[in-house]
Amino acid sequence: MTSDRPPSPGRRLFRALLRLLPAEFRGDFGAEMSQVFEDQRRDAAAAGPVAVTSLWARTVGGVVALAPREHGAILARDAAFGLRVMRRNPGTTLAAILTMALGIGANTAMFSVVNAVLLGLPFKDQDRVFRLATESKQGRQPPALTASALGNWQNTPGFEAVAGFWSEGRVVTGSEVERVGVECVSPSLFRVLGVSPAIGRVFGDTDDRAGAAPVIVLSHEFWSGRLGADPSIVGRTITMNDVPVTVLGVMPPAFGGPFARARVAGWAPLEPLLAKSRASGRLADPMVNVFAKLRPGVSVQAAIAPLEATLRVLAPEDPSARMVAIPIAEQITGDVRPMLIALWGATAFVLLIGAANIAGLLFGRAETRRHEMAVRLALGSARARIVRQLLTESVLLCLIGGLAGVVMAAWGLHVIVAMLPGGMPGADRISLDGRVLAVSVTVSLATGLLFGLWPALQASSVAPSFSWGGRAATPAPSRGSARSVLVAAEVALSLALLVGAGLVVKTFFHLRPASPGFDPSGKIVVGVALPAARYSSEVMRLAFYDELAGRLGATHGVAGVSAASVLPLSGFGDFARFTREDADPSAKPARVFASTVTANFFSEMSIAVVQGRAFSESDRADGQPVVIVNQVLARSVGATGRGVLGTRLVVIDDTSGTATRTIVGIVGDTRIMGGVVAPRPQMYLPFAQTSGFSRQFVLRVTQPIGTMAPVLRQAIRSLDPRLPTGSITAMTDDVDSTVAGWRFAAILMGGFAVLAIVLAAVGLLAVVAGSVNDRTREIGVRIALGAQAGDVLRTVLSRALVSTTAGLAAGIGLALGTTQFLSDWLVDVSPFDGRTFVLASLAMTLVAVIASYIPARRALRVDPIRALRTE
Amino acid sequence: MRVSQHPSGRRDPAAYLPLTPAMFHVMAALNEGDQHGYAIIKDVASRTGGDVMLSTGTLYGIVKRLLADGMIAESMRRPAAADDDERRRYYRLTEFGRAVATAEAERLEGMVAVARGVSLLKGPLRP
Repeated sequence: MTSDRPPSPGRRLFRALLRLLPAEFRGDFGAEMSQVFEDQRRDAAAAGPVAVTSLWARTVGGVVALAPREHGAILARDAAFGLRVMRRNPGTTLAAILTMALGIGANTAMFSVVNAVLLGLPFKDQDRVFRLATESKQGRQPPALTASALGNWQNTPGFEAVAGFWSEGRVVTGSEVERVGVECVSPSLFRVLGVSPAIGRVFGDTDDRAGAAPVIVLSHEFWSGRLGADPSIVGRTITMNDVPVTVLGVMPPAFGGPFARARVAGWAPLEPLLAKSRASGRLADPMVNVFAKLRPGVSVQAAIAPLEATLRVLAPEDPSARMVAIPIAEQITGDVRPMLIALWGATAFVLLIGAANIAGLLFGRAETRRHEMAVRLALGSARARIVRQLLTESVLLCLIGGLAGVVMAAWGLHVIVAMLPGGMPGADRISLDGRVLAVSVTVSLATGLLFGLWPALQASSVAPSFSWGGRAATPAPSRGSARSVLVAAEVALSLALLVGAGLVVKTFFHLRPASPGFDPSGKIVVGVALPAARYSSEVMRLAFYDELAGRLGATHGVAGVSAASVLPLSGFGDFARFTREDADPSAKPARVFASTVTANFFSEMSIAVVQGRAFSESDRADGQPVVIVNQVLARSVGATGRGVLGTRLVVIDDTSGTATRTIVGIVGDTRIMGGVVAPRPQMYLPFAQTSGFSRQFVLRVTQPIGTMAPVLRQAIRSLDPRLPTGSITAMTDDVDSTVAGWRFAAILMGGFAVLAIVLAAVGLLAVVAGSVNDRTREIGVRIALGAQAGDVLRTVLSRALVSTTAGLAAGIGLALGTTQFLSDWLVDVSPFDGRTFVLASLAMTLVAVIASYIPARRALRVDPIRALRTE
Repeated sequence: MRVSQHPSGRRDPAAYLPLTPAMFHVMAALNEGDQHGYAIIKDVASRTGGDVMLSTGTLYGIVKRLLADGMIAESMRRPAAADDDERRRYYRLTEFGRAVATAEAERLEGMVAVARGVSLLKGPLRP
């Protein structure tokens, strides 16, 4: 009983509802259900609208409840069948699972790092949290803000809260003397970052006043480490810089301040510190970092616009300066973000290559099951049903592989975390958490669906047939080409990854020996900082340092002692300003790095004296004020064409004030900012003529640091038991740590590239082996007819060679398109470095040739008699 | 896959208990004679005074399962051509299905006896 009238909306709706059920169920009962529903609707319509509504509610509920049960039953059946198929082909199955495990494992491990470091910042509404800075030709700097200006800024309408920030070192005494970092901040900082203390409270405006009783909110790390997680800490005092400080609270574990530093002891009010520094006259114009939280709905530009005006008043000398708001996430993770994203991207390439391999294997399997599919189609199975079952198999394969991958990642993560460059924010939060696992499962599932679909469609595209005859006379026409495309894609991805890895490795090797300008081998650095309260005069400080140098020098195993206020590679420096004495009086003083050093510093550090002399014992406080410059500074001093040695400079530095100093020597450049940054203009002053509160001793030693460290600590303690012994490190470690990021990236990128190549080689090998299998008879006939080995090899290798060549070409294109994402952290290496591209292409070609040749040789061993007999 | 004939001789009806109430009602309706889907729904509704209103989804989920377990089968007997609709299918209770439904009824009877024994139920049986 059919009708030409279009179906009513109700009938259409019911049909749509039936689409929720599996096609198989609809095929069996769909028409009948429609008929029953029509009968029900007719009777309900007669009974009234309430009956119609109740019928619809019942019907929708019934189908919605039935659908998952029916789909689940089919899934369980297909999965059980899939597992049986896997058990029948253990070799292929194991290869696929292993491939998937490697891809998912690498991806999961890297995503764990990305998740913790880039996505795991412990701030509320972090999209609205910014660091305010000025940007000018000199780069980004915190705005020069006085405390009163900060007060004005705190009322900026576009911001919910504005906070100042300044960090200082303090000496904690008690059972052990320790120098710690404390961040002095406005009370509003906690509102800006949206964090609350784990116990106790944070400080408020009444605590943030000159003369207020000293208070501190401790970091979780300091509280649990140094104070043994004492639950009754709130209200008690700890001694910092010889002053009792009341503990108000403890912050939660993940919180490390707005710079997410791993080692901060706590947070103290900013204003008392500013007041003290103003009173001392030492830092009348302090540079304060400013953090602010934007009001919802206000644009950043609108919020910072009013601040531009105050900036013009505060820093009138630099008209190029303008305000910028740096998102907190960029502020904290900006340095590592490109590297981590590139590494994660590399694992995505590995995963894609693995997935392509699996698709290749599924194509192979589809070929062997063409008859099974033909018979099932002939028996009335729907193509969609077959595709669904094959997809279940591929998803199952990928999920099992993904599970194995997560297990691998759990193990690999330890290795990655151990290799992480020091100081990476959030490194302590790295773990396989719920989000990481959810992403891994989703990626496995998506891989199974996406890469299983093509082979499944191919497998089901056979003609229905009951013939169970032997091998198919001809392979599916497009199967070979599909696998060739996959192999080409694998070669392309591998090559791009290899090029990327090559560039990173090249950068690392380029930086590694990049002469730091001195010899770090066999040297130990001992940092000592004297508390200003107890060592207030320069005489006291000099006396202490002389005595300590003597004791360290007399220690067994120490061959030489020198010292500097700031060592190369430290990444920060003290500054001094200078003008030539004969310069125009209106000339603006230039700002350069300045380091105060002992007379023997240059010889001990093997820093070459290029011209003139090093400091000597005769450069005393009462002698002629002298200065030594590095080559970069010498070039700028001598730019006027006059000689450099003997030039008199008016030097203004923080500790010794203004003095006219004569240049007595020019020394080689060192990389004060670390291994990457080119040497900067730098001057050296003798310790005898200007001291300072902190000093880094460099000891030339004959014994390893492990045995030296305790002896050296004892030597410091014997002079002043209340002095923190600070850090004792091997100088080679310090040099290494400046390139640790590149080493980390180079090792991982290299590892991922090797993995990619191995997977691609396996893929290629499988394709050629498949090609040999498919054409065994043809090869047999040709050998019988007298074909030469070369002809046979050409026959079976031609497809692999075409794939490889296409893959190489695509890979170079892909590499050209992707390596520019690495440019942020390639140093002195172009992202389009020709030599790397050529070497990577050659290596990939070599691997491809070997991977193709191994199975191709089998073709030469085909026995023509046997091959023909199977006909 | 449709199972219309099942070698039910060796199967133990008790292994299929308890039945869901909806399943039991469908089997009870078919015990009166062969019926098509809508007739089953109407029969169950009238027998329970409208308390049990099966939806099409629920009914055909049950039909599929009962067919697979060999408790019902498609009936070859159809009404006269004038009253027939070729889209309808008629179902009948198999011997095994009847054994399972009987076993379920006895199970329920046992439960009712227990309820009377502990005075959860009083008075005569409801009609």
